[in-house]
Amino acid sequence: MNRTFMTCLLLAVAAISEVWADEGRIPIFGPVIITQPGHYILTKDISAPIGGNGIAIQSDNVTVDLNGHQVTAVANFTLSAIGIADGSRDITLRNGRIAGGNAGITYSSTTVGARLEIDSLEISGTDAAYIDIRGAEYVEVRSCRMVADAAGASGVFVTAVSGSNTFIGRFVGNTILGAGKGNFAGLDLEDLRGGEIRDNEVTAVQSSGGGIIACDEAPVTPQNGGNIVEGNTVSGGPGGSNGMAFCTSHNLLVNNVVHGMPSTGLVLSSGTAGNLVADNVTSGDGHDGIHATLSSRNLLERNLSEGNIGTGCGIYFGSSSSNAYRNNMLRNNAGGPVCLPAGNLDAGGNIL
Amino acid sequence: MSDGRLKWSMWLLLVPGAAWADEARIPIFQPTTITQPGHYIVTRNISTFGTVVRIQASNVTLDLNEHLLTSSASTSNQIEIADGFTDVVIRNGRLSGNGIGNGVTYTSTTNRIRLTIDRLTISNTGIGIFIQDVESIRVTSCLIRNVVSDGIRVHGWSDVFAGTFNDNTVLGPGGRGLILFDLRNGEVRRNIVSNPGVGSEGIHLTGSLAAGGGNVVEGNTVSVTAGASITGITVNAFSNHNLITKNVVKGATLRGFFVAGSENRLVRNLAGASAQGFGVSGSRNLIEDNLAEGNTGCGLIFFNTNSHAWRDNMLRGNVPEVCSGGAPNTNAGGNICNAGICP
Repeated sequence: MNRTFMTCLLLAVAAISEVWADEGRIPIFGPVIITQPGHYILTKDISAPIGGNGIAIQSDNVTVDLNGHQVTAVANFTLSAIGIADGSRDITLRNGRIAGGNAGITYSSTTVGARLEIDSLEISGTDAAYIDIRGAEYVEVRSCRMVADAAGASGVFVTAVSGSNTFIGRFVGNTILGAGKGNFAGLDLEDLRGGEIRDNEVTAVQSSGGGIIACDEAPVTPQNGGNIVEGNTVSGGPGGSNGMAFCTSHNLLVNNVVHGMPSTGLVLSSGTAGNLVADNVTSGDGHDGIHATLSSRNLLERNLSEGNIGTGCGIYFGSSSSNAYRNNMLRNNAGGPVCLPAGNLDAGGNIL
Repeated sequence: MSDGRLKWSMWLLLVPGAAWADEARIPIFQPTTITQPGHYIVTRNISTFGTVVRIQASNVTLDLNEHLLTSSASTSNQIEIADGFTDVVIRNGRLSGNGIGNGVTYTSTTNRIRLTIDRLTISNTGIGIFIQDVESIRVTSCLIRNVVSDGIRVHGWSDVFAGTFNDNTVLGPGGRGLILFDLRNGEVRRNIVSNPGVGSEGIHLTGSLAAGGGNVVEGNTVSVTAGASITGITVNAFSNHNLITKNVVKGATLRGFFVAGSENRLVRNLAGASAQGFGVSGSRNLIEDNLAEGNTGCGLIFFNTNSHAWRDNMLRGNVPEVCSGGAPNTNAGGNICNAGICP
């Protein structure tokens, strides 16, 4: 009797440990569709079924703690490891690993902007994007490590819902390795306004994508921009184009390092104005260190643009006007220190 | 099997998750008044008509454990700290109200609190975080949205206070994003404020005590797409000797930055597409290495001639670039105007 009782008790405890998490957290131990708010926690690694997500979220106010476990999806499959349904908001995902699938995390809406926080995830081997949010109100991606397989991945892509054309976001302290597939950037942020892009490391950019892009999905929204872009590093890999590119205005771009991109280090695109570009390093790129096309009234100061090859200039002003540049170090660039400077102000102190 | 064993095994199987907490943390699973020091943890979402958690003890840590506390009464606060209690930590969860009650609130006129608030998401309240009479406070990594009034409002009240306000996001408040009365030697870093209320500010350092000031305000963004008479960042006459650096304001409908205190240093900030760029009052402020562009009014405007200095600013694309910058304010050189170096 005693042995039978103890055996039953141990089996009961073992079962509980798998299906029951403490402190009110709701355990996940297999593929799941979450339809109620709450704090969920993975208690074992799980795999997505064919035709489904590993975790599908269809509720507001959901936190999923992966608890160090892994959600795996089939490579080249059409669904993501974690899918957030249209209209589900105030979601937090953190603390674990995602592998494979078409994308790691997806959300898509044309009407309801996602409010989403992603923290401390390791995402690898996705076919397309690590994170793909098409319709954002507020998105925070922090302290994640994302690694592509040999085929590459298309990075982190976030854009606003089409009705608002603007979102707020923070992208801080992430490591993105081997992204840039299919013309997407490692960090491709469309419609970001008043946001923060800080301390990210984008390495070995692949294919034709760039490192960090902050632009505007059509229609262009002049209120976008006004972001702080600080302390990021971008380096080229087997492919890639530009290190950092900005299509919006009034961004503060400071203390970033771009090295070894096949094309240009830092681009201010046509129509941009009023960016403050200071204390950055762009070196060893295949084209210009800093390139401004049809861009005006930007201040470029205290940057180092060095060792850019091909026809690369330290600073290139293509049909740009009314910019000012000073105190930059611009030696050893194949195309010259400053190209097409007419109409822009050399405010002194540049080292040629 | 004996009756005793059966009861024990049944208890083991039926202990509700809502009441369980490990590592000696004390579970909270219903509206609660905390009267003893300790480490408390919320184990389920809680919704009630009145205040959800009232803290009437010092040395309390309250971990919301990612759960949602909701008050359905419009005037109820979600978390209240009673007058006279201190050394409180509140973290890691969600608060939602229904009108004019506050997310976290402490009100005193005599007892100064020491308080830490970290990783809260607060919505649909009156003020997100309202603390009156504080000795020291940390508010970090909170997300506050859709509040009727200010996002974060902290008063030193009895005296100046020490504070850290980092990495908070305030979206669409009816009032200011952050308003801090009598902050001294504090830091306000990497906060994001979007669309503060009409006639208000994204970030406002103010007060009534001469000992306030000496703060670092760095790396914040304020963006505005609608609403009249909004200033991005204001440091008023009772907050002096501040370092205001690497902040970005875009779209402010009154001005990007306004400094009314004295001997502040504004360096490497950006004001774009606003009604004015930088407004300077007070005395002996240094305005250097900033960029003002695309503002429909003055890029840099001095409201008095109290010996301010300005240098190395990029002021193109404003109408006009500089207003009232004459002596005894000092153009220390290197400022860039539309026609070249500013005269």
